Amino acid sequence: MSGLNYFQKAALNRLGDIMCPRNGEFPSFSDLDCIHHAHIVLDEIPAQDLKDLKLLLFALWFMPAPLMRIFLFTLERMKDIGGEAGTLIRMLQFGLRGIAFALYYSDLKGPKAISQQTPVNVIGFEVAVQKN
Amino acid sequence: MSSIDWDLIVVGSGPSGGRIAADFVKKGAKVLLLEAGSFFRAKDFPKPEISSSAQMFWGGGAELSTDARLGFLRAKCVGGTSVVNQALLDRFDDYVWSEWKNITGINFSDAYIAEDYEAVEKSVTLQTIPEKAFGKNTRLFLKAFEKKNFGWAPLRRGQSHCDVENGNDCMACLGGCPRNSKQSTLVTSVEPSLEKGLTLIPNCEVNSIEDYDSGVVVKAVLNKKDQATYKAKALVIAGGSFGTSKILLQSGFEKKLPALGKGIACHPQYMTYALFNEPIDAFKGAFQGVKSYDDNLRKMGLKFENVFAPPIATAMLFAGHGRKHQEEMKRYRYLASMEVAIRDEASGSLSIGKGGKLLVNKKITDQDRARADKGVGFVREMYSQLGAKEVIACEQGFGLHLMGGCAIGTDEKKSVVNPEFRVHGTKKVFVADSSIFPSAPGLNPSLTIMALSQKAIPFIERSLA
Repeated sequence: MSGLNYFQKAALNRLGDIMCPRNGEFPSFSDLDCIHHAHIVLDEIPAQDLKDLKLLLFALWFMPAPLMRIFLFTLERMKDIGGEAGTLIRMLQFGLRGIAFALYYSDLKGPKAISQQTPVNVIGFEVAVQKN
Repeated sequence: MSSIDWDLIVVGSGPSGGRIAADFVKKGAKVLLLEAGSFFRAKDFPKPEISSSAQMFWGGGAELSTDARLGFLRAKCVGGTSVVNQALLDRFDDYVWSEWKNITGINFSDAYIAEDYEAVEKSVTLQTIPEKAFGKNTRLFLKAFEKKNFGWAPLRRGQSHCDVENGNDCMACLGGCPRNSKQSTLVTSVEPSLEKGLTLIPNCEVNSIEDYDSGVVVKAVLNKKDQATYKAKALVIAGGSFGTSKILLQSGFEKKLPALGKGIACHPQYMTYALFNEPIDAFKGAFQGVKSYDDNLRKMGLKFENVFAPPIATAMLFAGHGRKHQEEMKRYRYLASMEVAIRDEASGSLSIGKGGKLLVNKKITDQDRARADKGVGFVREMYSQLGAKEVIACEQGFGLHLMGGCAIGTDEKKSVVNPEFRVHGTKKVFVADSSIFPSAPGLNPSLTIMALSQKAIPFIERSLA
């Protein structure tokens, strides 16, 4: 049961667009419809972590984009503090950056993508190995 | 105990477990190999990076320490770490042996393990990357080292036919080598043994074990849902530092063995990128060809390698997000990078949290921090001397060499495994993986894990007699 519901998808797309906006050659997170491939990561996350992530995304759905920007900025600024608050901030940051960047730089697009090229194309990463 | 189905059960199919299982199959034993991860082969290794990271590592890519300051990359697939690492096969040196001898009371030395090293080295193809195949990232590393008067050496790699001269890019093999050139345990031990009668059960996570005079019972969960029980004359637990310790902790061994789950080390690694005017294309061709080889750096507890990271990993390593982050990523082709790994204090510990979650309490000590700062400082200095436009030192440390938790030794109060690789107080339970390391060696551990496993084989054999 790793799939995201409507609210969680909307929150992840909003979060993704703040972390990975449309910028010159770079498409935005939602331009790629990369959320279509979120199951690749979500299927492998430990059950409790997945439950926490879904809850967090649902909570973020209520957060308008400007507030979400402030939220992410605050996480970044406060990631080095000590104690349990610092631990929570680093975990949140690692988890949110992890899912957003993993999808954005996956080189995968969804069926509703409106961008021709992926961020991997933009940065020029290309590797190949000939099989035996 | 009711009927025994197997001579030997091996839990974990990485450099230790895969090798031991293969040896006993050759000897004609009935061997069951249990692996928590999935069974991928050259033809179906998950690609691209998002898939290999999610499907071949615990935690869906990475796990965090309890204070979330360190990330851990722990392989979860048949062949274990050996499938997803760079197959760097170094012998340990006297810095390690003398320290281990002092800690454990065991006569560790070059002589102690020489035959085992030789046996392992004969069983794999070892190569170094020829200088003509060095890419720009490697050449910059060498230039930097020469300017700084640091010694270097080619990395000895377990590989047979990478053929980088003809356009193969080794970075593509981080999620498993589609050419089967990488000398992983999957290629050298597991796949050949399957043809000779080895029984392999992937997606089988062992929860606990019971040790009896007549044999062992292993309790596991198959495919995340079905309970399973297996019985054997003897058991080898080879789940690596975290996996092996977790199984023994869940089996209640910490009551008798206070050292269980203690002494965790991980060689925290810090990447530093440098921006140059011309494209470096560090991801093309041969990938990790050289390392530091310098007595002074060794004494400082520092090891440098010329590595690079694929896009998702690089995005995670760069701080922040948004347009500035994208602009940094856009310079990807113009980036060189170098990694410093530190010989850390084995100060971490493992415990079991809510819902059976493994908690890794591993903090960077003051000594570790000082070493990391020193190492990153050297890299900054070296790249600046080469005319880098900008140097980006990544704050996030990662542990890839997970060690300790079941230290070997003679004293039951300070160790978990005896000098014959048997868990103290048990009759038939053996461990020879990286969990038995009593301290961090500061060198790539794979070859020594295999050699120690080789050394354990006669003791395991005796228990089956």
